[in-house]
Amino acid sequence: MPDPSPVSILDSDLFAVTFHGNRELQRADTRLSLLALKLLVLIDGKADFATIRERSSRFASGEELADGMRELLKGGYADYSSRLVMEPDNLIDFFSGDANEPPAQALKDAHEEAITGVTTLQQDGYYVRIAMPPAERLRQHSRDRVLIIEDEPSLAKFLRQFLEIEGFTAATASNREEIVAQLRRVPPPDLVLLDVMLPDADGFNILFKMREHPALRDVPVLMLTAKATRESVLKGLAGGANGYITKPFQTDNLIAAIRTVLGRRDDPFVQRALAP
Amino acid sequence: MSNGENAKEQLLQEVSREFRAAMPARLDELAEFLVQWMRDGDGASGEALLCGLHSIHGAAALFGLDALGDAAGRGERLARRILDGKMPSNVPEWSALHDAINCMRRL
Repeated sequence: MPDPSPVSILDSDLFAVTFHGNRELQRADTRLSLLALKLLVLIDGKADFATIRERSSRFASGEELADGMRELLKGGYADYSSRLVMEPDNLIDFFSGDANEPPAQALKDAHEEAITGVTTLQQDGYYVRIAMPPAERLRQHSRDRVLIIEDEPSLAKFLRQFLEIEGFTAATASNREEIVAQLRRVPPPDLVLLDVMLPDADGFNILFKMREHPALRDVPVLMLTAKATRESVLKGLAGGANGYITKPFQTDNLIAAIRTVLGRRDDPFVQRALAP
Repeated sequence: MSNGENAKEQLLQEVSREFRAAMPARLDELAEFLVQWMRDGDGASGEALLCGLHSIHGAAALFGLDALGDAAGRGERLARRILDGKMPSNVPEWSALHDAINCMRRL
């Protein structure tokens, strides 16, 4: 089978159908080639390249597969899921109705950890999971980009400027419209600081929706919460939060939590976690 | 104190002043939400009040206003209990909520 490298695709690359691609799938008069259309159907629902290659082997050679993928990528019908932004159809869905609650098994799995989380929150004011981020996050960015979702204007302003002094690039969002606008930006933020209670949105709902979204599911999320109850910690852990910070918070704790979740090797907490 | 620490301290002072200056208008708004909630049983007003109190509760201590934060936290807990239906028509609870907002005005 010929190497499909002309389109620079790795087997582990994950693809998703774009908004444009979704519309094309629903058209009666699509201009896509039959092969590209078949591939688009295979990608629908998200798939890595190894899976697409395996499934398409019945009807396409490696060379044809590469051609089809090139047609889809160049035409904007599909994209690397990591590059996908929130698209118009998804935006409506992002805030409509409740997100899927964490499955019962996830809640069960997080049970023990939640106890540790609550204890740590009460003692230290922050808790992060010792789950190292993907390797690329360990590369040194010149400035990590943090999105602050916070409705209290003074606090949002303080956080943004404080993080900039600390060497981050920060943006704020206080309501649905601003949250959507910020999350649509490409590339997505390196980390989201997420308030739990917002005037027109629920922080947990946003977390759950982010974890369901192909472009946002890997973005680390630190919850900012005024209450360190076991119930809220359990809900966040099962829903995929990377950590918690209690309000009112100490600025040192905030910075330590952010650096830890971003996997900064110069952070003492990360050094301890990485130690053999 | 290093330049960075100076900048952080100045930022905290500046934002703290703004937070304090905005408080009377915000408390008027919260009181209006409370009146609307009590008068019409309007859950949206209750949610807005709860969110406003939560917001002040979360920020006040950072700006060195512990008493304000405590009062907002007390108000938040009361509003949550009423919203959750645990004290739907209990007069002392409403009254305590008024007291919490008035207490915040005096600080």
